Parts: sequence; structure tokens; C-alpha cells
Amino acid sequence: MTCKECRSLIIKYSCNEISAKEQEEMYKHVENCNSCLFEMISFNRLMKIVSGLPELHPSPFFESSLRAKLSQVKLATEHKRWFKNKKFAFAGAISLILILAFTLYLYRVNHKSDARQILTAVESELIKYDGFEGDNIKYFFTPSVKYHENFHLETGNFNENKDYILTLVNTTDESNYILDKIVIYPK
Amino acid sequence: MSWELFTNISVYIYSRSDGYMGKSDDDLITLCVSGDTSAFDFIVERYKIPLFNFIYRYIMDYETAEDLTQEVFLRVYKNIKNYKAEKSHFRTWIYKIASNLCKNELRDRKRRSKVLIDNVNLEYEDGQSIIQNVQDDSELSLQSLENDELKRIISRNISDLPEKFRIVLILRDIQGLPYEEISRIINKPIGTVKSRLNRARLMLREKVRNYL
Repeated sequence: MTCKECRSLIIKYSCNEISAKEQEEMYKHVENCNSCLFEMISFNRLMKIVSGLPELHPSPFFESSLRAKLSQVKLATEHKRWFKNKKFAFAGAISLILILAFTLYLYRVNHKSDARQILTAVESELIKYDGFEGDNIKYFFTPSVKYHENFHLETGNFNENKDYILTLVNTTDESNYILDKIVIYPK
Repeated sequence: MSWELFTNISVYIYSRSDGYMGKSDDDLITLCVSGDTSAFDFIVERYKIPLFNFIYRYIMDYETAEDLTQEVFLRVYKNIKNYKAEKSHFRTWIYKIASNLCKNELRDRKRRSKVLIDNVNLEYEDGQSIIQNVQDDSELSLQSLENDELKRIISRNISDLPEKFRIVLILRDIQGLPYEEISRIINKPIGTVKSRLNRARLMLREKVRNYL
């Protein structure tokens, strides 16, 4: 066995990866070769130190710090999971649309009925002013600033909590004489 | 009274950890996925020190090693549902995450140090190079070194090995992982692992020749 062959066996020997036959051959060689014997001893020592290097420990705050980081991750994961649940998101969206549609429907129905009530009240009051019906009478609603040229009510302008005063103005002459004020109480 | 409480707590902790002690990594992961947070705590307990040592030996920086070890566990926690036991061992997976994080850290560090070196004048006022003044380890008195000092020198020389040789040496000779696992961790055939390990040992031997 040459020294070169012996050196490769020394590595194996130091790492406990040598076979019995190889070990026997290596021993035979080092018995007569001081250089390889020295190499075997020092390499063996090196590998023993390497494999026995002291085990290091993380700081005592390692786990508490990790726990804090983990709880943040858990929180973020839960949020993601909540949003990722497609069934839940779909049901939520449908429910929201239904609630909105129903609210809009109720709003419209209520305001239409309000408008209808006011309209009926105004009509019944106007019966007293038969002679002034037509283009020469303009109807004003106060406190609403809306001006109504004809007897047309806009549903969006009624406030349930306020009384409406219909002001009848004679426009046949320049004086704009106020004929009457009719108070309408929405039910 | 307080002693009784302490004993009860100790017994409780012991019985909790004892329940997980015999379980394999895959069993613990199954428990984790089903929502058992204590199982994850036990995984941390099992791998905390080996991983920390691996990362520390790889990058040789205590604080960063601690941060990266925590990052490994966070990544494991985030991706635990994606782990497939039939593809690789849990230990291989966790070490692979750790080695990738170390590689990234060293790459970033190289980039940072390059910027620093570019901006620093490496000469004293008299024009002498700072590098020339750094004491050569080989000139130190070799015989007087204590065993601890020798370990410190060997540790430092391991960290000076080129990255691809260092990782196999740490995983095999310090951590004691089998060749197959190392091969999977570094994504190289077993033959390459063996030849790199051989080179790493010889390089280390040359570096510390004067100390042994």
C-alpha cells in the first residue's frame, strides 16, 4: 500500500467508515510509516474534536420570542382562512345583496305611501278652490323649497316628521296674492 | 403548599411531554394539522438545538442564528399542511428550509459587506495595509493552546471553508446525518456528497495542521 492510498483510508478510519479488511491493511502500513502514523493520529484527533464540538443553546428568550411570532402568524392565517372560505364569502355577498334590496324596497314603499297620503290630502283641500284651478294657480310647498308647477309630487321630498303647508297664490295679476295656506299633516 | 403546586405542575408538564416523547415526527405533524398546538411545541423542542447549532455553524453569528432558527419554525408552521411525508423525511425538510435560509443570509451578507468594503479605505495613514497587520493564526504558539481554544479554532476554520464543503461537513461530521439525507438536503447525488465531504475534511485538516 502506498502512502497516498493509506491517507484516503485514514479519513475513512477517523470517520468510522472503514471496513475491517481496509483497517488491517492500513495498520500494516502505518506500522512501518511514521509519516502516515502521525497523519492517522492527528486526523483522528481532529475528527473527534469536530464530532464533539460543544452543543450551543439559544438564548432563554428564544421560545417566548418564537411564541410571539407564532401568534402573529396564527392571527394572520385565521384572517386569510376567513377570506379564503369561498362558500362563506358567496353566502355573505348574497345576504348583503338581499338585505340591500329589501331595504330599498321598504324605503320606496314607505315613501310612495307617504306621497299618496299627502296627495289625497291636498286634493281634498283644493276642492274649496274650484274657481282657481288651472294654470293660474301655483302651488308651493313649504318648508320644502321645491316649486311645483303642476300638481305633481316628488316622492323624495317628503319628510315624515314635518308638516307640509300648501300655499295657494293667485297669479292672474302681478300682486301674487296669497289665497290661502293649507296645512297638510302626513299620517 | 407551594412545593405541592410545583410538583403537580412538574408532573403535568412531564406527562404532557411524555405523551409526545415516543411519537415520530410524522405523528406529531398529523397532530399539528388536526389543531394540536402542543404537538408543534414538541417539534420545536425536538429540533430547536440541532437546528440552532447547524445554522450557527453555517453562518457563525449567534443572534442571526437565533432569528433564522425561529424563521425555520415559522415557515414550518405556515406550510405544515403542504408537507408530504411520502416525499421526504420531516428532518430533511426542516434542514432544507434552514440551509436555504442560511444561503440567503450569506448572500445578503456578501452583498452588504461588498458595499462596506467599497466604501472603506483599507489603509492606515502611513499607507500600510490593514490586512497585513492581521495576525496570522498559524504563527500563534501551538503547544500552549488549551483544548477549548483548539475547539474554537477548529470551529472558526470550519466556518472559513467554502460554503458547499462546509454544509456537508456540518451535516455529516457534527450533526451526524446519513448521506442519503444530506444528499436530499443539498439536492446533490450521494457520490457528490461523499467527495465534497472528503475534500472538506482534507481542507480542514490542512487549515488546522499546525494546531494538532
